[in-house]
Amino acid sequence: MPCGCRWPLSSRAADRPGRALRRWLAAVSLAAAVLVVAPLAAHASGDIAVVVNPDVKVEGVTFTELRKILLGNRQFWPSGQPVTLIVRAPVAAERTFLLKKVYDMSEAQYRQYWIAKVFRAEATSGPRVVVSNVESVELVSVLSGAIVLMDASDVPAGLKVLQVDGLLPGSKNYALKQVAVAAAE
Amino acid sequence: MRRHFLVAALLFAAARPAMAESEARPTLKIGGFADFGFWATDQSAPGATSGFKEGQFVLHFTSVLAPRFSFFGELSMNAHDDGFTPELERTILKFQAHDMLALSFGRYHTPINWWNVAFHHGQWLQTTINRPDMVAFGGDFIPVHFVGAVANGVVPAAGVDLGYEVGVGNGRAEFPSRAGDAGDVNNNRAWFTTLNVRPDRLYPLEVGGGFYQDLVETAASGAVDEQIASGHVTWTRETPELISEIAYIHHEARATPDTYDNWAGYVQAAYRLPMWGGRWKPYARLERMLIADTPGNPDPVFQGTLADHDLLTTGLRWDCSDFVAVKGEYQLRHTSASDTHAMWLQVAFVF
Repeated sequence: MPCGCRWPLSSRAADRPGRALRRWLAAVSLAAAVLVVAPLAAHASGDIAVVVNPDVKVEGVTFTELRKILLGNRQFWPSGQPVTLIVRAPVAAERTFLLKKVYDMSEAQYRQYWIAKVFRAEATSGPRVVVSNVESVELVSVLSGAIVLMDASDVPAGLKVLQVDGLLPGSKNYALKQVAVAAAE
Repeated sequence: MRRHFLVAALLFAAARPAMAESEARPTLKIGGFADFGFWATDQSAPGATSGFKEGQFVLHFTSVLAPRFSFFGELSMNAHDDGFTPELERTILKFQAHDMLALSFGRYHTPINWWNVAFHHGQWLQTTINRPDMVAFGGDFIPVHFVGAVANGVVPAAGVDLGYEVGVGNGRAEFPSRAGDAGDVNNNRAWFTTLNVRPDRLYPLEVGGGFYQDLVETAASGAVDEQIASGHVTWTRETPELISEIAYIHHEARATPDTYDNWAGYVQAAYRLPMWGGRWKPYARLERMLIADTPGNPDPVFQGTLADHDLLTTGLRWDCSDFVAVKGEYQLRHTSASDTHAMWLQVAFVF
């Protein structure tokens, strides 16, 4: 029985048009998934998510507000709950992003900034330092008022992610894109 | 066996109160600053000899007493010819209600001067070796310390952060450079207020000013009303770093109709060079101080301690590690009588 479709099929497939059609649809679906979903996934993994403890009564912040929070200049959420800062240790991509995009400081300047802030009695301590995103997830889940920056692809389901300037990671104009920082280097 | 059990029980009983006590006590964090240096001058007057100089040894204490209560302390050891003298520089009990309001009590660095509260006694924190003369340690111009109560906070408004501070305290003591640590010498409280603005779009620009009022007791003229107005503009990003301050001090003797106007200010610029790992930072500062020292009728508060002068400071800071800085500095002090040249070298660090 001649094949009416325009795609090459094996003789066995040609012998079973129903199965061939299903395979063809599956292949098309897979291709569509690769073409459509993969870029989104890549986009999301290039974004930095602002993750907070679930008890934080805030859904989003502006980039300016986020900078003030991460600089320790905003030490309370609007509800009056104290902010607990969590920061990745040096070398981590999130740390590099934080210093370049948010603080606009070198590693040495960042350390001096927090030493000075505590010395001025403006803060009782610097941010808590974690060595992995797994540790970030553990701490931000249990510490009241906690906030941490994480690669969006590492954020497990169930954690609270804040909008930044009204957008979530993966959005086209999302403010916290690692790509922009990498390109600027 | 029974004896072993008894010993174990006694050890457990002895340990329990200690464990309970250690858990009940607030944690205490200690940090510190220290410096060591060498200086040389072309002056040969007594007290102006060149040589190595032990800087300040400063300990800083932080303790969270409760979720919103905290304690800050700063203790310095200062080198003198006959040994070291300890000084409790700051001791502050603070209640932080919100970003917009914190209440505190204790001994402060008077916040009407930006440098005074930005760097305190952390030589490593400041770019230069020497502080501006208007806020020199042991100097008389700005009252460096303040003992009393302070309310402060930050209010966000229309794209800017408005920071404020209001304080009431003892004011200057018998010696103008000292705060009334053990009480107010004239039973007349000093007060101050400051306001600063940080525009969101111009991070890290800060513009601010303050006002301070006190009644000072002097040996020469008795009670003297003192009013201080100050202002500052700072840009602390380091590429460049720009700091500028000005202060005006008005004195009015109560026993006579005499008034005295004094000015001081400085402009400091520094730039962290992008090459060589960003560890080098040249800097320069220009200062001017104008004291009401009319012959026969000098300012009763600054009489014999301050005089008109200009001061040029220039130097280079090398951050040889994240926590150690080596600085070299040259100063030219110009007065109507003479010019003085001095060189400084310093190693300053945080620990």
